Amino acid sequence: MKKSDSIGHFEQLVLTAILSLGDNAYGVTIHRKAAELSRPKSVSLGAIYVTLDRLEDKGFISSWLSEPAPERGGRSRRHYQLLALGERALRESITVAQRMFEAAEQLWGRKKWKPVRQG
Amino acid sequence: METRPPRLIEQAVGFFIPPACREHILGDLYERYSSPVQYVLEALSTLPFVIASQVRRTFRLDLFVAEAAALYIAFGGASVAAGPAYLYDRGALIPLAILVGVALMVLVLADAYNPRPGSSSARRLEIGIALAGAFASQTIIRLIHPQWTLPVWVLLAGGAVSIPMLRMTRVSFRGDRRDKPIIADGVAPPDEVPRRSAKGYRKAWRVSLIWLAGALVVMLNSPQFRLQSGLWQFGAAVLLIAIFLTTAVLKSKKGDER
Repeated sequence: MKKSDSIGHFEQLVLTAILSLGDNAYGVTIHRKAAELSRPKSVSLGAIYVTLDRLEDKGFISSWLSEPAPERGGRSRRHYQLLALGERALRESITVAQRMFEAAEQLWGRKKWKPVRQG
Repeated sequence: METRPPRLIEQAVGFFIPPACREHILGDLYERYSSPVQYVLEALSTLPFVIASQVRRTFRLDLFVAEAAALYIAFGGASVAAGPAYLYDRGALIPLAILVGVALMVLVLADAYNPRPGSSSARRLEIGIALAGAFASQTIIRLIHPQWTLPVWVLLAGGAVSIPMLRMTRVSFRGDRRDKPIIADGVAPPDEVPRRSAKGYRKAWRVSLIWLAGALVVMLNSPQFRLQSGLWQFGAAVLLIAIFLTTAVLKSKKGDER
């Protein structure tokens, strides 16, 4: 795997948000979803834009501008879509995370370690 | 209750967002608007990220190095008038580095805000703003730490020399707006590709020529350079440079022989 094919934690978060939002993935919704996934940590809107640009340059996602929307003051949305390369990178990183989870679970035991869930 | 951001604030925020992403970011900020304070705070926290991302996308190391070399040669060469080794003996390398650094920063930002090659007047304006920024930084530093500034005549002479050098560098690296896409209406003219490459080749040699001439000026100005220390060494260096210059002149004229 090339270095440019690998993804970091935040990129993983943004890719997951795009995947789960489907056709409705644009700046505001991606930020909202990423913030929801990364709770209790907060996510800045600027960091989302930087990551989206980087993912697009890596060829993991593609984007296009929609028609101007009145609820946005007549401005377009930039929609994002996961590409095959991005989906593969996300699958690989999730597989690694899954293996880490299983290894930690075996070592610490189910009773000792419970992932924190925020309501 | 107002449900949209104040127009003046929105225009001010839009001014600072690079045009490539202005449309959708202003739209996103509009959609998230709840109060003027929230809007301004969110815009302020988002702007540095957006600008940095655009700089990363448009940054070109080769252009950056060439511009740094052009500025160094221009301002270093301008000190020739004060006699050999002026910059070195006076310890003026720090002010020179500050000046070059500020001008480069402005040029990098100009590329982020205007990534496509613009008209010749737009290009001149970018260079003018970069030099104005560099001179302004010198004025501010002069008030705080006068030792870290260059004399006014070096600034003026260096500025005058750097304008054509920077302009040529940017034309060579960023392309020319007059160059239309090679494939027009789905058809590529058969002689267009060789013509373009020959043009690029000639340009590259012309740039090398200017660099060499500039480097010669800086070299002759260095404290290590002493004509008496070895005439044969000087002669050999001049011969080598003459050979290179002749080759460069011949190649820049032809362009079709590689």
